Amino acid sequence: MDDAKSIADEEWFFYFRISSSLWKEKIEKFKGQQIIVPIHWAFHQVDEYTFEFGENRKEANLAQIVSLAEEVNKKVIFYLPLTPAPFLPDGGIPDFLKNTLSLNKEGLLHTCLDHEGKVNKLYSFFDKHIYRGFSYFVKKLGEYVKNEKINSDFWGVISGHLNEGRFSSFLEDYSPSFHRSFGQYIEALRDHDKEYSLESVNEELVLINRFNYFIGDLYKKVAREGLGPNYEGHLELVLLGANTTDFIKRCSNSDLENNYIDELKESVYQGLVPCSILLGENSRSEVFGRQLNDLLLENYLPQKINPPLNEEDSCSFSLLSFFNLYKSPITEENIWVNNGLVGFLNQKYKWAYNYYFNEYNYPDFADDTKVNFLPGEIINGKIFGGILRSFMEGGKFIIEKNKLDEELAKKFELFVLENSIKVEKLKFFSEIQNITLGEGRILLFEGSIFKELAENQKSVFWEKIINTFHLKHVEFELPEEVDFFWTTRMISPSEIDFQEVRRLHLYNTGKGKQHFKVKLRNKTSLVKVASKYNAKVKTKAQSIEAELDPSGSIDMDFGIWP
Amino acid sequence: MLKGNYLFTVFSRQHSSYQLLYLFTENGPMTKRAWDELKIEMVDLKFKNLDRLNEFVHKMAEKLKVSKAFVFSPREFNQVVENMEKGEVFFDILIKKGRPLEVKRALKKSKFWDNF
Repeated sequence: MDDAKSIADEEWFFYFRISSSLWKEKIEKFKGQQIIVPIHWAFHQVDEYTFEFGENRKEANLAQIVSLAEEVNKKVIFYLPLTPAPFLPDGGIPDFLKNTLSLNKEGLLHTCLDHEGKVNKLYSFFDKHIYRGFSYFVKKLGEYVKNEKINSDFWGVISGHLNEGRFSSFLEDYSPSFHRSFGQYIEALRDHDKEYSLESVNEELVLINRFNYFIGDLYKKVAREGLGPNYEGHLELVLLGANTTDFIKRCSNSDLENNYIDELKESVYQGLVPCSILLGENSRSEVFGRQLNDLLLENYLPQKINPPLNEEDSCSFSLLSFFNLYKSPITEENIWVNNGLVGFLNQKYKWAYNYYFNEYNYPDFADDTKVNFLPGEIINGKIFGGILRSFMEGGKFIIEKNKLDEELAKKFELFVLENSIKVEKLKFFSEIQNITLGEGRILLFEGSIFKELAENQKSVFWEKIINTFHLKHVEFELPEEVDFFWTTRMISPSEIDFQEVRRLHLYNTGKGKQHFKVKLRNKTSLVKVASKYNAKVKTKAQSIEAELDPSGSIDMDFGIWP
Repeated sequence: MLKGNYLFTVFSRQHSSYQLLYLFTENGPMTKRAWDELKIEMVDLKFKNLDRLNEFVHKMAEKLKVSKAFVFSPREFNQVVENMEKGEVFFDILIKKGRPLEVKRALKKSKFWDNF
């Protein structure tokens, strides 16, 4: 077997595709320190009651992989699929459990092409036999891990894809198995509350979302309980090239060059983990490969699955982000697009803000350097408590108050009064309340005003509001073909003059040469050109001029002064 | 402009109308840019009856200058995908199993919609 079959990009090791006699040689070829090993359930389960972890078939010996990796100072990280896994044949489930094929919302089969162009069909995880089978398998896997004294981390993996920018898990399914389970769920709700009924399509969508989360949680619980201390949590994996349009593109070989760059970044800025293992060589351009490496493998993924424990390590670069935007899962309408915020941020702060769509996945408000944008309708008691706690410790919030729960609004007024907190009322397109406590800030605005505003007025509104947070950002204009992202790091003791160092990663995704200029503003200095490939850079007193050949890239470090 | 010899469309039936889910040729799917070039908005692509749907496919086939056009229901599309092992045979099976609409004459209601 060749390398491509056993070692996909992104340092994944498909152990079940290669003879164990070749494992050592292959493991030595991994460039990074971490090797990701996806567990192939079907490979370890012979029939309903027989499991295989290397007793009869050496290729199923997971302990051996860990031991060989340790010999060459590499760390194994296991990925345990908690949903159908499009990178495995039949989604990873054993033959005897193949029953109901999973369907997407449009009624089409969930099918994906792997990196060799093979079709992987997915089966419904709402099938109770699959759930029972999975529980039994994970129990056996957990016993094996314990007996073999395997210390490696195990991550539960929820595979999915982006659907109009929003994560959609492959657990989501509209097959008869799903409808049967969902019907039983509604019956259970009715048993609990005789008056219960679904009043609208929207309510049904919210309930389906809740039910999916509930079932997903059952699979997570199985993994947590089965793997005990080895279980680190779960990751939401965005498989690039996994949706139906991608399937058509990939079957027609029209899936070329840079199709996935935006999806790669959109995933990262939503706290998801993009993954290119389904993509074949035809789908990757050289510049895409470099962005994938710089953004995902060198930056985001190690911090996600192996965050730095000490201060010295925290001086490594991480993604720059000034804002967290939260979207209501209840309405299809995206208020931040409609009120012009997203348009404004894409002009001035592109690839420097995070987006959260899933109510079950909202981060806490621990990072008080970020400005959080929340629609009032998503604020429940728990989120409200989190906002107040964070606000008192310097957290910053901009809240659209139209659909804010009345009781919470009253509680908030009471909180402000009782603590004698400073409230300013401003008139700017509408009434704005600006509430401050030390570094903490809550700004409440009326969302209904935007219906009457022109696009340029919306932009003016957001510019004025965001300027009040005194954020320091390097502004530049780039040709359309030049792609970029930002990372940032804290300073080391030898760099005490700066507040932080930011790295601008630039890539030419076009076919011609690209020229551009980055103007240096106050309180920003170029520290160094960290790396360049097919590129020329000229530095001047107040600007930097760059020329990128096709596929060229540059990394530039800027010092930000206090 | 999207090019090709064959036009493939997948429609779903929703209540009393038909919604276009996918439109593609053997060279790939319609992109947003290609729709813009034809001055057609994707959101408009709902048809209240089969005649309108067939008319649309017919017009698209003429615009894209294809020799054959195929219409699939989700169930028919799934039957094709379910029997595939490799992506490279996708279009061959679609052409073999699909029911072609004749491009240069008005289309009549065909029985395959009964499969919904």
